[in-house]
Amino acid sequence: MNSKQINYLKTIVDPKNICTTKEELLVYEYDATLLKGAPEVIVFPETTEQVSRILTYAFQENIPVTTRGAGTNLSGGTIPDQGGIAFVLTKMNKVLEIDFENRVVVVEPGTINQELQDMLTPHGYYYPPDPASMKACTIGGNVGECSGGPRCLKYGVTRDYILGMEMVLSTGEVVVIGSKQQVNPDPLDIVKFMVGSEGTLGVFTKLFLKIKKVSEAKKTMLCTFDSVKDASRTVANIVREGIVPTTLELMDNLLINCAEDFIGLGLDRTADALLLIEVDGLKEELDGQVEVIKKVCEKNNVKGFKIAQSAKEVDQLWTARRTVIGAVARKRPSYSMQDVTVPRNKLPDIVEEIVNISEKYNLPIGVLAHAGDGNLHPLVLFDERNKEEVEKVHEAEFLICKKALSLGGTLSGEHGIGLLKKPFLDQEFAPEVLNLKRKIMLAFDSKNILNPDKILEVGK
Amino acid sequence: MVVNNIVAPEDNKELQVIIRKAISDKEKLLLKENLELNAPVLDEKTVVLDLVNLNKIIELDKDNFTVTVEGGINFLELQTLLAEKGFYFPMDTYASGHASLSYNVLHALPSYSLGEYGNYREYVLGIEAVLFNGDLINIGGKNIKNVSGLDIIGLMIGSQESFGIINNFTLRLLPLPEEKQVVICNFKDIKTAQEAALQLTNKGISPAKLLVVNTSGAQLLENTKITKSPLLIVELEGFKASMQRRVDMLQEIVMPYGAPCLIMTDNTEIKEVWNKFRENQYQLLSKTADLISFSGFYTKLPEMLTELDRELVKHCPAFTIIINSLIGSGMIIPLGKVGSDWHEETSKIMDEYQGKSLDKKSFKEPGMGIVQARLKAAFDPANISFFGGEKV
Ligand SMILES: Cc1cc2nc3c(=O)[nH]c(=O)nc-3n(C[C@H](O)[C@H](O)[C@H](O)COP(=O)(O)OP(=O)(O)OC[C@H]3O[C@@H](n4cnc5c(N)ncnc54)[C@H](O)[C@@H]3O)c2cc1C
Repeated sequence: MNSKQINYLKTIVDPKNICTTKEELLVYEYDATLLKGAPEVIVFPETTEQVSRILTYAFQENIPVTTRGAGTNLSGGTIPDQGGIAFVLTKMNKVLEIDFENRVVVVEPGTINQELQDMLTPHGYYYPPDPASMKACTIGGNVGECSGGPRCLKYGVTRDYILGMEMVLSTGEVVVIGSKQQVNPDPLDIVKFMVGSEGTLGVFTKLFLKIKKVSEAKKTMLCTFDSVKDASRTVANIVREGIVPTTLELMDNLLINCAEDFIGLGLDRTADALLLIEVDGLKEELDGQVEVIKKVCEKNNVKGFKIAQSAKEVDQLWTARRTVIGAVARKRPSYSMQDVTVPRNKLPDIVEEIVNISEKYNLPIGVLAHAGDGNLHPLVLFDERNKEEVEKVHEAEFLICKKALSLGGTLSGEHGIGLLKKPFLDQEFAPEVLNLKRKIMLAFDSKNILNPDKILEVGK
Repeated sequence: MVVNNIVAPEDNKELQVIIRKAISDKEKLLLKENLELNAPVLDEKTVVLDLVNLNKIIELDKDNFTVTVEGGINFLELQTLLAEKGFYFPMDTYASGHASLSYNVLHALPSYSLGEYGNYREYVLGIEAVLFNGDLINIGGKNIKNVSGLDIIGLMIGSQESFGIINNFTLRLLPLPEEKQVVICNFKDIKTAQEAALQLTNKGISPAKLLVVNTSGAQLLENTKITKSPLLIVELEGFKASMQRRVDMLQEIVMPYGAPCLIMTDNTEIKEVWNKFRENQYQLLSKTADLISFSGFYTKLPEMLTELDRELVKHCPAFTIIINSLIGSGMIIPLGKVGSDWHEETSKIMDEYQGKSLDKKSFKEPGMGIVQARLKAAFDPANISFFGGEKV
């Protein structure tokens, strides 16, 4: 971008919302992956009108625009690898409307997920999508990725809670799709299609979200196993018994120890795997479900079965789960995380393969999984400065993805494709499907300026 | 109506051949169910697709709670077969007994359980489809979560046959609920019925279905035990352990309204009630071209419905109102000829209460018009879809 272009941007937004120094640009080269790519300018819009005017200009000038929330995505989805504008929406962070009676909330995209939850909790409501990164990530980013979270086995993912939105198209046109009501007026559901579009189809400027009443009661269980296989078999068996828990999370031995080093809860460090299980509903329903879950666990050689006795204990277990990704930083300087998802009964197979791959490449790989959904986050630990090791990480991850696909799985359950998984996409989809996706992207963004060539190579 | 050109493919390859032929011969194409429900005007070149032969259950995966099934299977038949094996596919529409799975999904027909059980996208995990560009595509599988680059499955659901025909589905199933009860309460007017429904949604009872109907709607049940008045129809399902309390909570809410309730606990009786309701609604719908579908805010619905019920009589002596109170959405079905102001009057009342007519396209915004045209061209470059991307 030239100085004339950057100066023009300064006529649209307050110049204090434009950054161009080398140090500032450096900060936006990254997201939560190890990929890098520098923007030429960082712009923080504050209003829909500014978003619209900037896109109008970018469209006219063919400037790439990489939309960004908190940048916590794990797919390289906000790396401005083609330069241009890093379009950071964090200053559009107001909760504009909370209507408890109609169960709808209107937010600007930069609203932090946890901050919204904090406003709802005292009134007995919540917004179900709860990614482990909720203290930092934005609702706009959640919609961009169709984020999930531990409770999405029972309550669904971001897509299921977006009623409508105001969005700006690549040409700068502002459109409102869907509505604040619970049904989309149009059966062709473009609203839902925008969810998971990874910043490639439009920039959301307002989001209409559905909220839910908090259940009357819940029970949280901690189960430990001597083998990951037993734990993963337990997962499939619980659902087979007719129970849909809110949460069915799995951690392997490496991660149990990381969590324990970090917050010291007294978790069983010798256990090969841990399951965190939660059920909710009316209070009379819970004991029966807990009993069935216990029996299933016993059938699968559970080592320890514990029901959390207090809200404090529940909180501690959740803190262990939510912080474990950060906690691995104590083991090795770098980590890389995949997001493969397999049919639930294939969990033991994929876990076995991950263990084999870990041994073959001599790389520690922790297994963290939203196991009820068959969604695994194998965390490969390594040292980024060791080029040989980095090469091995790429190979190991490719094999994990390949195995997941061979088991009928998918590359991504909730983190999206971005740049990280783009090279693998043709392993999952036939050329005609990729072609169709390309055409759809061009239908929305004819000049391919929005997060250009993320997900797949689109070209002009 | 004379329909000459009905074709019933035996498998996906044959479906592909038919669609490719339509592309090369510039024929228009639509699903057979439209003949009853949408009364389209066809010419002799229009191909009517009947998916009746594509009706096999390919795999019931008991471990993953999925079923893979051909799209021509009758919706109700599929649900019955699954229930016999202890599985539950909770979508249930007025066309369940008549229309194929493909038709229900492609038109995203409103399920009575929308709200408690989410929408079709949560249950359609994988599809095989023949697009109107002639490609046979396979997307998704048995994975509950999948965000592998743009949600084509989501786009096909509700696309109203403008992009292609889904001929094969992998569906997510749920465990069959332990127990089911239906409670039907007589209200003195539609306003109080809707008020009670709203209170119920806030109580944590989580009804599977929560319908309000006007007096004429009560006749859909054809049940001699039920007095004809505006009704609140509640289906409760879930664990035995909590069922009695759910019923108690419900009764506590309706008691102040003095609304007598009939409680059904027998599964056969419950099945019968829904069969009648669905069938009668379907018959009414197949006879009218003046249906109005709408949605509203929970808080504004009681007043809006009251006014609709009161004012529309001036334009049509009898009409049925059915509302799914879980999502605040419903339909008004005229039972006879409507006056010239029928639509105008409805729009006026709905505007007053910020209600929305559901046949408006979101694509009315100028920018989306171009997007829509390009989307359509990506899927259907030869424009063979009978509906041409427009509403029926
Ligand atoms: C420790 C940790 C734990 C995590 N746990 C989970 C988890 O449990 N579940 C889960 O699903 N993910 C998880 N993630 C991934 C990540 O937090 C989510 O993807 C999150 O939704 C990203 O939000 P963000 O605000 O950081 O968005 P960003 O990373 O800034 O952006 C994400 C995508 O959305 C697009 N985007 C952002 N804002 C807009 C907008 N306004 N309009 C259009 N597009 C936009 C971007 O272009 C990008 O493609 C985790 C990440 C970390 C680091």
